[in-house]
Amino acid sequence: MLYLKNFTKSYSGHSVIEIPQIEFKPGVYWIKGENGSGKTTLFKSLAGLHPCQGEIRFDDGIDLHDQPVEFRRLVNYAEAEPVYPGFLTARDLIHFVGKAKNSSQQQRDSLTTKFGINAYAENSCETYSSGMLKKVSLSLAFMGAPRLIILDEPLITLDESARKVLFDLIKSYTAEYKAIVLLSSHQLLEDSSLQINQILSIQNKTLQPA
Amino acid sequence: MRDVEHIAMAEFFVSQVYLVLIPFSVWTLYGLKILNFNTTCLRKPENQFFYQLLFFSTGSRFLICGLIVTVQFSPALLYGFFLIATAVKYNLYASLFMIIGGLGSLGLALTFHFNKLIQYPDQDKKTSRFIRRINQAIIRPYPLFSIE
Repeated sequence: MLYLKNFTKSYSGHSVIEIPQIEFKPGVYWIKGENGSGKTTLFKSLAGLHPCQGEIRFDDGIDLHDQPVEFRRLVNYAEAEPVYPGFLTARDLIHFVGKAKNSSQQQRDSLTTKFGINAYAENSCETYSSGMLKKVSLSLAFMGAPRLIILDEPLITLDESARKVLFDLIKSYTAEYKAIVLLSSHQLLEDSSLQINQILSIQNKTLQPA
Repeated sequence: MRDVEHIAMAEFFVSQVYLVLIPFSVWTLYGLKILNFNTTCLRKPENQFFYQLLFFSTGSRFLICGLIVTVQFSPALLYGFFLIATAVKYNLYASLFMIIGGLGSLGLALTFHFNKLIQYPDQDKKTSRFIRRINQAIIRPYPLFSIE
């Protein structure tokens, strides 16, 4: 479980998002919100990439501010529009992130095979299309044994077969690792095979049930 | 400059301990440039993946940070070795220790700073009040795009 209490993210003293209290149980949460409402800011704050205030901790007491390394080790984040240095290959990235996240070779191979990355894994990232980059980013988001997987607009630029792989992975990670998956999407998810715990919406600078 | 002039200048720098402060101040400025470069680089979206370095063991992390800083700081280090060789030639040990201490502390400071950047990422993008004012006041003419 993930607890947020008195969460505040502000820029130069100007509050962008405030969440008095919320709990996330293992499962999938769909975060909705208009462009610029603060979805990505919230995601990056939870991933430890943006400084923020308030209590953010897992049920075993691991807190983002008190134990940043332990907390961030348990959080995997995939950006909406991933970019990587052009000279690196997907294999380089998978090796680096896999090692950082203590991912087994078997898991790495399985993820690259499922997303069909092997076909272009040795090419430089600068040659990839946005869909290919998205697949690399999503495969990195499932490395290791994350307890919180944050997927920012995971469906954009993704083909039908990769979508199915993504939904299957989400299902298996929520079942096997009891992972919490926070995802934002402007595409409709109701039709997908995903079982969604709750639909939340960012409105009036706070997170509330949609 | 010719070879002899380089050698003469190195001999001048190591001749007195306080004169070592001249190259040391240049190295400090260069160090600040590296520090600024690393901060800017790590804020770029394409380098976000590099924050995963945090999950490597402390030893490996410092080794990688140290190697990166060593490569970046290599011009200063190479000139430092040249000054060290000159100081050794004339048995000027006070200057020698000053150079080693200065380069060592700068290298360590840069390594710790790089490690801190990894540990406490700050990807906030802010537009300063000054830039906002400029943006409000003018619409940039097309030729200025490429210059900027």
